[in-house]
Amino acid sequence: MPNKIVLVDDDPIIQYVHLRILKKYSSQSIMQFDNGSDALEYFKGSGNEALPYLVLLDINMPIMDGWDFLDEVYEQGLESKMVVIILTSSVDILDMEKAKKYDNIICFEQKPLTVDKVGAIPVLLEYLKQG
Amino acid sequence: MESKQLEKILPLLDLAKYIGRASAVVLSGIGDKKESYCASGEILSCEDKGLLEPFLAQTLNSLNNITIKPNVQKLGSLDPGKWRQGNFAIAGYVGCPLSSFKGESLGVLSLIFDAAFESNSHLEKALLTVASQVSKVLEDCLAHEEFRLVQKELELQKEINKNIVENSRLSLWTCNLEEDILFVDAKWAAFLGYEEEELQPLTLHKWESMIHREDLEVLKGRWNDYLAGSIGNYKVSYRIRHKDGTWKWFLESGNTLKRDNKGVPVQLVGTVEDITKQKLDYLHLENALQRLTYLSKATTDAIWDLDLINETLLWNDNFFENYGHQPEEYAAAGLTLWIENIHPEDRVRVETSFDNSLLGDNENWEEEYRFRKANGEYRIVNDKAFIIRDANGKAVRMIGALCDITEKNNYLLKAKIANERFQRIVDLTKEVIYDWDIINEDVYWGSGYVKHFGHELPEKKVTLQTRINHLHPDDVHRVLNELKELLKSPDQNYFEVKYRFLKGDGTYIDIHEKASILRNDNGGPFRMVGTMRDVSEANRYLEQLKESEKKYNDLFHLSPQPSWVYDLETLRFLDVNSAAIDCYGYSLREFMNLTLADIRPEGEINPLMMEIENVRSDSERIYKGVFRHLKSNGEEFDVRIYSNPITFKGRICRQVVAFDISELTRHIKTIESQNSKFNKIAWMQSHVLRAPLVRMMGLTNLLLDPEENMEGENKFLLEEIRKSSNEIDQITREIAQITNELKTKQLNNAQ
Repeated sequence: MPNKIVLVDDDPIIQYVHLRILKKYSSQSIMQFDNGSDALEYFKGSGNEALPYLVLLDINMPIMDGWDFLDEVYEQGLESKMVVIILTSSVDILDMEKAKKYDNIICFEQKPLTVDKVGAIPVLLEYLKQG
Repeated sequence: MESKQLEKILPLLDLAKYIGRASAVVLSGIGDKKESYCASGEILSCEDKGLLEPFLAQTLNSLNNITIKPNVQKLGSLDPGKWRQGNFAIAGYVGCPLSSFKGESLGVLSLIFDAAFESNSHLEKALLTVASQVSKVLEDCLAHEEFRLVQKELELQKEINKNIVENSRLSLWTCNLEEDILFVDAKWAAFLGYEEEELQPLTLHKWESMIHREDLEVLKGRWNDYLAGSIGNYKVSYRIRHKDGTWKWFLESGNTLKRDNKGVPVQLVGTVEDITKQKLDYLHLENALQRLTYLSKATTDAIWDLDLINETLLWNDNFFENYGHQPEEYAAAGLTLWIENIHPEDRVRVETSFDNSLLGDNENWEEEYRFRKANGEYRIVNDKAFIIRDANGKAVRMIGALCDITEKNNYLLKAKIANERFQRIVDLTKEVIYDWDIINEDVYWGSGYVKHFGHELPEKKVTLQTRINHLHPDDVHRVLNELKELLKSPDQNYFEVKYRFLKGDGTYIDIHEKASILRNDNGGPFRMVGTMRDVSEANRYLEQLKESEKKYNDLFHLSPQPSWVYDLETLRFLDVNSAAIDCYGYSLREFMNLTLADIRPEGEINPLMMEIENVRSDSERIYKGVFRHLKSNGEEFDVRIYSNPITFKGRICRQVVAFDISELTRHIKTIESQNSKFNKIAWMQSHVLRAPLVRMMGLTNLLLDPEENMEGENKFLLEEIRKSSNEIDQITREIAQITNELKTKQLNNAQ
């Protein structure tokens, strides 16, 4: 089951760091987008598979930030295609509160991703193992 | 037999004994008791009578012939007995039957011999002669007795007649026409209130002068007719004056006692009867019938006349007009049809009560029932009748009136409902209602008297004096005087007074009494209907209100906040306080010429009018809002307005309190601006500042990964960088912690 993990972040350094961490668990290719808009285009085109995608989503991004992306996903009825882990540098309580409003956000985690953090998110581990 | 008669007969018996040479002579079957006498005059004993019986029977059977038994051996089945009288046996017997002139048997004359004897025709002849003499005496006796009886009967009859005359209203009179005098008895005089002597001598002229002029001609005419012989007897009624001047009715009848040679009556005898009562009764009845006839014509009631003897029922025209039935049908079977037209549910009741009324001595009958008209509609009727009875008390006639009370019944029903409503009002109202009948000193008190005043209901009789019971001593004279004045003034019909009234619990309440006075045509008061209202509570309330108004006034005028009252209709200022005058820069007089629009800048007038419309649509609401106002010097400032409804001088107005919030608005704007900056810093701190830090932390983590085999001084340096990064991370988190707390508060406040 290739390309089931999607990384959305505008910071290439962070993308690099996160890929390195994730590669430690799985050799599968990981989709990467550097803004919400491109990610949305991808999901619009992808078919309905039995297993939803796992999206590691940053909030503060240019063009389309994380929240706008999620709003569009819901707007266009794509929410069933994915489960979302918020990966952000934000420690703002307003962001944490906002995250609770979206059904498909399963986890709110601060960057950077570390080996320990990956080990503490069972859903992420599950997806990595399947690769 | 009376001794007188016996005296006459006994010698004859002795004569017979002598002639016949008999040992005893017996006269049998005389008088009522059929006694038997012997010559000595003694009454025969029963025993002897028994012995003689068979001979007597034989003698009586042979009637006119003499019975001779010269030698009595055996008589029928009887042996000849021994005659005890003188101890003779009856050895010989001669019986002479005694009969009256008309041939009726009077008894038997018996000669008894103690030895056989020889008879001859001389003896027989002589004995028959004696017997005929005895018969004659007996017949005389009998005639005398009969006469005595007749006389007795006559006396009895006289007595009866006397009683009849005395006990009746009859009086006897005789009149001697030749001597021109009238003899009347004591009763005649008594009828007219006189003593008998007072009227003596009563000439015909004097008698005529006592007779009513209208009746005298008739009376004289009757007399003349009678005296002329053109009528056989006469009977006439006339009025005659009583001593006290009233008129009495006499019914006179007369007959001739003595006539002269030419057969013309010269003496008359007769009776008069005082028929005043009957006559008056008759006239009364006549009048009543007359009235009934008129009434029957005047009334709309259906009048009926039921003859119970002939069972005929007559109705007047009203009946047929009102109920539409056909007179012909009713003429044939009035009673039956009447019963048939009674509503089936009422019929048995009416019939029973009708039948019962005829029994006993009821004079009236009355029933209410539903009666069917010819068109089938039922009307409620009241049927009332008078029962006429004969001398034995038997009902013979009924006269009644059938009155249609359908409307009245409806009216009564309405009146009943109205009365119930009135009663309910009386019970519910807090006012005590009274209705004083001034003339009869009678009063009706509404139930409130007991309920609200806590007194027992006072005496039924209420006078002007008792009217002021329970009033405060200081109020008594004033109220009484006012009431007296009012009752005296014929054109005053309204009374209103206030006073203190003592309740049953000993406390005084304030009463406000209002009443209407009803007067007769002369202006005299006869009725007073009024209410007494406990206004203590209202008075207290008024006092409190005055106090609170004063407080409000003070509060309004002394308040440091600008405040005013405006007319919701015209938007004009009606009152402003000193603070408003100070704040807006207008004098009180200037304010009174302004409207709300005059203290608004140009651009605020439309929003004001919209708000005013809202307030007008719900004038009770308490309003608050922030507006921009304009002072007299053109300066604008922000105010927070609170307004609430108020009735000012009878108009619906609004009272406004204005708070100058210019300063406050400035402060808030500063705070809001600072807050916004603070939020921005927080955001930057969270997202912008932490982004490079996170990158650095990620990179150092990668470099320090065991797989990288970092050793020596480089590893040490990296470790230090990681430590510093973590410290910065911790510091940013702590800052975030503070900003998060503030935001949480804001969030909670917002919710």
